[in-house]
Amino acid sequence: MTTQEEFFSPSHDRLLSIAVWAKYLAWVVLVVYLLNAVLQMFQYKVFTDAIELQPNFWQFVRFSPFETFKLAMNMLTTALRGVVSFLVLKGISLGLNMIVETDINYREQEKEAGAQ
Amino acid sequence: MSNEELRRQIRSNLNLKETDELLDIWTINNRASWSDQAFEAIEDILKERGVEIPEQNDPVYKMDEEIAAEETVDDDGLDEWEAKVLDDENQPEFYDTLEVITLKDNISKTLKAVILVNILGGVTIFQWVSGIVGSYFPNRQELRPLLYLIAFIVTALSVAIEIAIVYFPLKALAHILCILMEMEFRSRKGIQPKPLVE
Repeated sequence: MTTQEEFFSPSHDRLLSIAVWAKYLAWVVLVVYLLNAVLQMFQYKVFTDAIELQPNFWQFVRFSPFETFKLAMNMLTTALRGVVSFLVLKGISLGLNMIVETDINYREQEKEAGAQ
Repeated sequence: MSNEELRRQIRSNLNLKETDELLDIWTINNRASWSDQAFEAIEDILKERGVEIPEQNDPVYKMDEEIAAEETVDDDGLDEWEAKVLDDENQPEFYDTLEVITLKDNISKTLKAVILVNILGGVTIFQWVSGIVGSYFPNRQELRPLLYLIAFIVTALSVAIEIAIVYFPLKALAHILCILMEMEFRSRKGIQPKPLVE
């Protein structure tokens, strides 16, 4: 790291800080989407209220299997959206780190070639 | 990166491979492609899996095209690459190579889930679309098969577009990460530069 620090420029710092933000944001996004998916489960109450049914989840499942399927698909889609966003942000973070690493490696090699 | 950490990385990467694949690597005994640490890890993994360890061929120190073809397992031809990058003692400072490989695997798994969930979700879209199409022709029982056919086509198109919107960017991301890792690997000291596509 000490040798690499010599080659650090503000652009590297910027890229690395974006990479760090993307890395942490990935986790935040994942948690928010997963929470959203879990909270969607309570949408069954809207349905049971509308048909004046006792607000009980198992009664809802028995009464309307297709609505339950729709609810499950909504939950799965939301969770999957979170996973996809997580992977994209993680990928951006790793990609930026790799670009910085590659550039620093080439700068090190250039410096060594110049010294020789 | 410490030696212990490197050994752990090599081991966890090899542990993902099938027993047959590990036996092939063990038997072929290509020392140009695989480090001593990798062979130690393979021996441990095979013992753990209760597999009888066969005798190794004479060690090969030069990788010829035939062996390279045998050891290239992945569709993208990157399996050999991943092992090389993980085996290398000079590990990068800013990222973890294992993390990149794991992310690539997770992307493949997620893509399968995306396809499955979108196809299942097509059932709800079909119900919705057929309701809309049917509302334009009330009390026309004779048109029902045609209406279902139209609803099916619209649903299929919608599902295909939804899959494509996620599938291609994620697939591209996985490839971009592999290419960046390969470029980073080639930029390390002591690595012979070779063309990216041979």
